[in-house]
Amino acid sequence: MLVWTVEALALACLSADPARAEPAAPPSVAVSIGQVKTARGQVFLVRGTERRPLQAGDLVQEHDVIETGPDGGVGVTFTDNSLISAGPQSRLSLDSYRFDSMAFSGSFLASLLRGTMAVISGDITRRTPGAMKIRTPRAILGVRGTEFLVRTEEP
Amino acid sequence: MRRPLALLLLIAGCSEVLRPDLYTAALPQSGLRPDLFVVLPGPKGHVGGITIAENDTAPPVELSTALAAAQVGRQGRLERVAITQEQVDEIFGDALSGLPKRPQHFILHFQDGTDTLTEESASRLPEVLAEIKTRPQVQVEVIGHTDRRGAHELNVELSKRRAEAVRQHLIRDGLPESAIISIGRGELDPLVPTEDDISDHRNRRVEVTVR
Repeated sequence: MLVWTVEALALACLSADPARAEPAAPPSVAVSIGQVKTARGQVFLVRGTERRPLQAGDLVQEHDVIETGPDGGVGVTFTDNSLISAGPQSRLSLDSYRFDSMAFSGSFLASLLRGTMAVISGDITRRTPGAMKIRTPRAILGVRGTEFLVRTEEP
Repeated sequence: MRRPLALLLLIAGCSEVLRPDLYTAALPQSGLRPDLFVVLPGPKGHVGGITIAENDTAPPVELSTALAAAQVGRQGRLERVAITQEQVDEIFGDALSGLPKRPQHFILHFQDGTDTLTEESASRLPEVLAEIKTRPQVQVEVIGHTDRRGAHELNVELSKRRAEAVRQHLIRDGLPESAIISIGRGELDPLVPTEDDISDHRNRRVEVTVR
């Protein structure tokens, strides 16, 4: 399987800081689905109850939420080679992501809850047009394979 | 846009409500509504398109040409709308400037039955290494393949050795091991479909994706 795990990283962090007693890792294996390639200004990652700054090089997982501040911007490359960026004052939720790099098949659902985003679709839609979807508070968008832009605001 | 800004400056410091970011968010730019969808021309002018619907059961609006756009109107209904490149740059310039560089794909070929690159492919390695160096946060995927001649199990091994040979080239050039994933797929994924047991130089390869 072609996957980037962050387990090793997480273990390293834990052993380096014994004072930070973390609860046992959740049973699900933390599999990264993409990597932050560009980040400027304020960019945050919300993972469960944790919220921390996000930087270029960081890995993202299914269910992560990415937020940008008034001067923020972020760009992520996913394992299917799709590219997503968000402009300032944005909130992007990576709701579900499946990609089988052997069969080039999968599905991708993300939600833009506020702000702006640019998308260049990747291998998931190359094999299965429509398998990538973007939700906003007022619409749902199916991707057949293209480059597109979305703006929305909170309801 | 100028007047609200001047007003803001006048009352700056005494209002927490009229933050500039909130103010622009409340004013759809250029007369467009806040919920906006735009298709861009692809790198080679190719446009596959998107479909948009108000919900899972509503009939979708299809956008499939460059700069085709739709917005959610005042009644919550989707409607097509005209948009100019200038408006796109104004509204989406920040998001567009944050897009990561497109992944680059390379195919390197090997001599028959070996993990030795062909001369032509060996001469292309510097191109791969140069591409890697243009990306500060790089991930490289190295996937080895064989043609369909010989036993499947042996071909899996050979494809792994080919991937490993390329991986070693990249590591020697300074790419950290953690930035590489490399696997061998044997004869399962030929570039050119052939009958089993057929030797084909095009299928003896390693595919490198730099992202």
